[in-house]
Formats: sequence, structure tokens, C-alpha cells
Amino acid sequence: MSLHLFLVTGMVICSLAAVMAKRTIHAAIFLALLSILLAGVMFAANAPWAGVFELSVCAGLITVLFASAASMVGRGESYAKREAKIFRWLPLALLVFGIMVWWTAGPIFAPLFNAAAPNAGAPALMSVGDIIWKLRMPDLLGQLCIFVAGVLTVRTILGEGKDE
Amino acid sequence: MNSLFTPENLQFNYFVALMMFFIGVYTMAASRNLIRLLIGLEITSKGCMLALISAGGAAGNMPTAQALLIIMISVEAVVVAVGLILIIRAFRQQGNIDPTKLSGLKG
Amino acid sequence: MLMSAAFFIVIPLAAAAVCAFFNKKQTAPAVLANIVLACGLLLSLTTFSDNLGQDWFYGQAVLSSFMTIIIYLVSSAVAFFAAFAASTKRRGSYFAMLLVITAGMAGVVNAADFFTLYVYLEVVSVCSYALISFYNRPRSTEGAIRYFYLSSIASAILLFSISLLMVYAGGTSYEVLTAKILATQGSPAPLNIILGIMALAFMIKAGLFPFHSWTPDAYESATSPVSALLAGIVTKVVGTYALMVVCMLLSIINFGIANNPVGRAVMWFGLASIIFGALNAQEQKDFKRMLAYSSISQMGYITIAAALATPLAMAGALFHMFNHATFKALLFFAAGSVKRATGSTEIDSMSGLQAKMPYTAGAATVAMLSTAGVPPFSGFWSKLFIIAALWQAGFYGMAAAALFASVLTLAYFLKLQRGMFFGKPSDNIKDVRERGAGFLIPCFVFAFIIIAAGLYFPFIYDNFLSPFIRVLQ
Repeated sequence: MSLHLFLVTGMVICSLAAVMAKRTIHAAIFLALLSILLAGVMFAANAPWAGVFELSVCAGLITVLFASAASMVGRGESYAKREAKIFRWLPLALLVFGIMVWWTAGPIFAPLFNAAAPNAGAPALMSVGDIIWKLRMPDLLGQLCIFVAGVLTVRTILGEGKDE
Repeated sequence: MNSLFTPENLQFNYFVALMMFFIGVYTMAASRNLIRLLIGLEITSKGCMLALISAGGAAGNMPTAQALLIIMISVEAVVVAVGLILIIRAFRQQGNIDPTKLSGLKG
Repeated sequence: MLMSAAFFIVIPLAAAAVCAFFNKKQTAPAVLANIVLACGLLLSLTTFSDNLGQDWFYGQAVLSSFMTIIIYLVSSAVAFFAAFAASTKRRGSYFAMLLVITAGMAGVVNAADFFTLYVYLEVVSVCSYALISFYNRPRSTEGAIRYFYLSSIASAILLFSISLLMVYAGGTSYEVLTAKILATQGSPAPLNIILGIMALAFMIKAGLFPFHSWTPDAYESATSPVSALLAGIVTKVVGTYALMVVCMLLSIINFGIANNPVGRAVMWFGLASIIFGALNAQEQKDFKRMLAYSSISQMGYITIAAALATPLAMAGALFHMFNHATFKALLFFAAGSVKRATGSTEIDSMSGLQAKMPYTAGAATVAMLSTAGVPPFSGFWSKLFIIAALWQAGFYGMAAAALFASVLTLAYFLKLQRGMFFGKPSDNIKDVRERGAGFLIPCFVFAFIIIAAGLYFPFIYDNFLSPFIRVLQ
């Protein structure tokens, strides 16, 4: 229980820190920390493969992408002051929102959570790899499509200048 | 090991996921820096991942939840890369990344 | 997903990979893309009746097969038009992207699982951003960025509801969901919440009224073939088709309209879009922007009918989807021809185009009359279905409002016609000439379809709509 509490509370604090950080590069680092905590939740919840992917892709690759974009743009800092004013109110707004959700959404979602059906139609004996390859073939095909689309997009947008 | 996902914890996880959703949406509404907007977007999707993994635990179907998460993470990476490229292009064309100061299409 | 459906995804994807290698060639990618998409259209038409057996819930198979036909119809027309209209040095990338987006849309409509739906929605979205911002112009980059943020929020909301679905039903596929619906008849509240959140995500993706801000920007700043693709089919597939699926499930859960709170709410959004789009289109000074607002309005018709979810309304929504794909694509093709011929799409900057470009103007007139629901064009029948279904279900006010908006549609198109096409040719278009056959053939094909589907409506009804109505009843 305490581990769980530590991880998820840490996630909220990290996301607050990420959006309130003065410099974009710091925000990217807090985002990476958030990913690491989420990976911790995944490991603790007995989902090691998802945790590995989260660590390598989200905490690794995406942070690198953010950092390089931030250094390429390099002018994000000039807006920091004006932004800091707006974001000072975020923790308070979050608190109000949290109290509202706790009192309103709780009863709304309660029947849904109470009706949760453990093991309903679950192919419990299959491993993750089997599920991906046997049951999730359309998703894998879609993943292939999105990789092709991503490569094409990068090539189109970064590739050339004006050609009209 | 699944003691991490008792019903009370499930509700708490969804509560945290909603909080992260709120942080992300607030950022996307308030920030004037396109990269920070993208960070807000990432936070919302992290909230969704937390919701999904709790759902897998609650339904006793963790392998499927893992499979979905793995696919979702790789899709997310492509989307973030494309978003960053669009932002860099906007910066090259206009010299700033303030969403209110871009070329001024009327809404 | 069925094996036959996989062909509609794998073949364009493979062709796209080939196209990408011929980036600098001018003809090879265009020819390949056209051949592949035309073959896909033929295949989708011939396999229409084969696929009807596999039904995850009532009417889903007919909907998927019909949508596959519309997707390939519009994509092949757009590829043909783009082969003549797209002037770029990177034609390989351009056509490869057209092929991948077609594969993605085929994946969306053939998915049998909400998570698969999400993956393919992202494929379509990524391709859309790239196609909107294909040329290095500030405006199109901004249109793409706005689309990116709104669409990504919608995806996050969709994923959240998918996770709730997983908690409640133990899985994400239509099969698991229908099994759960059968098992829990009588307590629809949890599923109403889940599907309501999902409907919100799809309404954002469809660009309905409060979430419309990206559509005019994106349609205006993209090139005409891309606008035709986006307005004609992409937003229909990623938004309205998915909304139709959700609404069908909602009506199954709630046994029709009597106690369907989410469906009612979605109907109000649809009505607001109809009125808002029609009113805003009156004010626009730009041809393509007017078409974009007109799209919002027509999307409202489809949504209101889908949310009503009686068999008649569903058939009307499906047929209106088809009609909207044909007439809106035709109008954007016409806008592209006008832009290429005169260099502008400002309505006030020219008049009397009819004399200079008679064929384009004629085809555009057919499409406009069909949009406004004038008999005997095909748009008349689908609007008749929708309004009749609303009247039948007792929503007299909404039926009257839909009828009124249809008159507004006629009004703004008449204004456009008067300003742009009729009258004496203005000085600045003295040496404008009709564009070549490549620009005209897609327009003529779509004009022919609009007229033929209107005149031979019983044929369409017997072959495509009545199987749909039959399974829904």
C-alpha cells in the first residue's frame, strides 16, 4: 500500500513540476521522471514488459526528442515569466478540481467499478507475446502503418523546403 | 503480487489519472509555448496509461493490458515525434512558438 | 478483423512502401497509386455481399462494407485528381501518404475492437497532419498544429474510456462488449457513462459545433485534393463513423430512444452544428472556407440521425455519409480547378466564371443543389430520410430546424453561385480557360453518381440500404 501511494503521489507531483518548470529542458526531465515512476507502477503491478517499454521509449527516447527540440527552438524561455503567472494558480485549481471529483465523480463511477468482472473472458494462460501475435494482429498491422506514416512525415516535413 | 490493485486502489488510481488529465488539459489551455503544450499532452496520455494498467489489474487480465500498453507506447512515440517536427517547422517559418502569435488564421 | 478486410490495409501499405522509393519520379507513383486504389474500389464492390455474414453487433458488417466502398471511391478520385493537380517535386511521398491514409481508414472501419480503432485513428491523424502541412507554408503548418492538439486530446479521452470499458467488460472488443450487454440487460448506467465519454471524443474528432475551430483552418490551408479527402472522407471516418458505431451500441443498450440520455445529448450537439454551420457559411468570403462551414452543417445532419438510431435514421445517416462524400469532394475539386485557373478562391474577387469554365461550373451546381437537398439529386433522399425519421420519432422541433437549415444551405450556395459563377465575366478572368480532362473527369464522375443515385434511388435502396434496415429491425 505504501509503495503504491508513494508511486502515484509522486506521479502527480512530477506532472505538476513538469508543467511549472521554468525551462523547457527541465520540464522534459520531470516528464522522464514521471515515466520512470509509471514504469515502477507497471513493475509493481506485475507488468514487466510494459515497464521495460515505458522505461526505454518514454523515459529514454521521448526525453531525447523533447530535449533536442527544446534546444533547436531555444526561445521558449522568453515566455517563462508570463507563463509562471498563469501556472501559479494550477495547484489551487488542481485542489479544487480534486475535491470536486472526489465528491461528485466517486458516486457516478462507483457502480462501474463495483461491477468490475475479474477474469471475464480473459485468456489468462496466454503470455504477453502470444496475445500480441495471436489476438492483436490487427493492432500490429496498424503499428506498422503508423511507423510508415511517421517515417514519411519526417521525410516530407524535414526533407525539403519550398517547392511550389 | 496483485495486492497493489485492490478495489480501493483502483478508485484511487482513477482519481490520480483524472488529476493528471486535469493538469494536462489546464496546461494545454493556459500555456503559450507549443512544446509545453505537448508536455501537457504527454501527461494526459500518462494518466491514460495509469488508468489502463489499473484496468488490467481490476479485470484480472494483465497480459492483455500489457499488450495494449506496449502498442500504445510505440504509437505515442510516433505521435510525439510528429508533433515536435510540426513545432520545429512552425518555429523555422515564423520564429516563435507562441500559439497565439502564429500567422493568424481566423477562428 | 476479417481476412478479406486485411487486404484493404496490406495492399495500399505495400504500395506506399514502393511509392516512397520513387520520391522524385513524376508519373510512376501517381500511376501506381491510381491502379492500387481503383483495384481496391473494385474489390470492395465485389466483396460487399460476402462480408455481411460476420456481424459483431446488429448492422455493423453492412456499415463496415459500405464505408469501405465510400473510402476507396473518394480516395481513388482524389488520387486521380492529384495526379494532375499536385505540383510538387516529392510526388512519391505525396502518393505514399495518400495510400497509407487510405489503409488507415480501411482499418478504422473494419476494426472489431475499440483499441484497434484507436491505433488506426492515430494512423489516419498522422497522415492528415503531414498532408495538411505538405507544402512549406505558415498557414498550413498552423492548421496542422491546431488539428494535432485537438485530435490528440480526443485520442486521450478515447483511451480513458477504453480503460473504463476494460474495467467493466474485461476486454475491449465489440464481441466482449456485446456479450456484456446481453449479460447485464436492464442496468445500462455504467455502459452509458463509458460510451458517453467515447462519444465526446468522437465528436471532437468529427469537428462538431463546439469543437469545430480546426476544420475551417485545416480545409482552407490544405491544397484542394487534400481538402477534398479531409472533408469528404477523413473526418467522416475518424469522427462520424465511430460516432455511428457508438450510437448503435447505445440504442442496443437502451432499447431504442425512450430512455437514451447520451443519444439525446448527442442529438443536441448535432442540431447545434447544423444551425451554426449553415449560419456561419453565409458570412464567408472564401469558397473553401464556406465549404468547410457547410461541412460542419452536413456533419450535424449525419450526427443527429445517428444519435436518433432508429433503423430509418441510420439508413439516412449512412446514405447521407455517401452523398456528402461525393458532393463535398466534387465541390472541393471545383474549388481546386478555380484556384488553379484564376489563382484565388475569394468569392468577391471574380464573377461570371460560368462563361469561362462551363463544365466545372455545371458540375459544381449539381453538387450544390444536392447539398441543399433539391430533388431529384441524391442529397434530397438522404435528407428526406433523416427529417422523416426525426418526425416519426416525435422530434418535431428538430425536424423543422433541420428543414429550415436546408433552406439556409440553398441560400448560401445561391449567394456563391451569383457571386462567382453567374453574371458577366469580370476583367480579371479574361484569359481564364477550362482546365484539362484530368481536372474534369473526377468532377463528372461524381456529378454522374449524384444524379444517378438520385434518379435510380430504388436500386440503391434495394441493394445497400434495405439490408441495413433489415438487420437493424
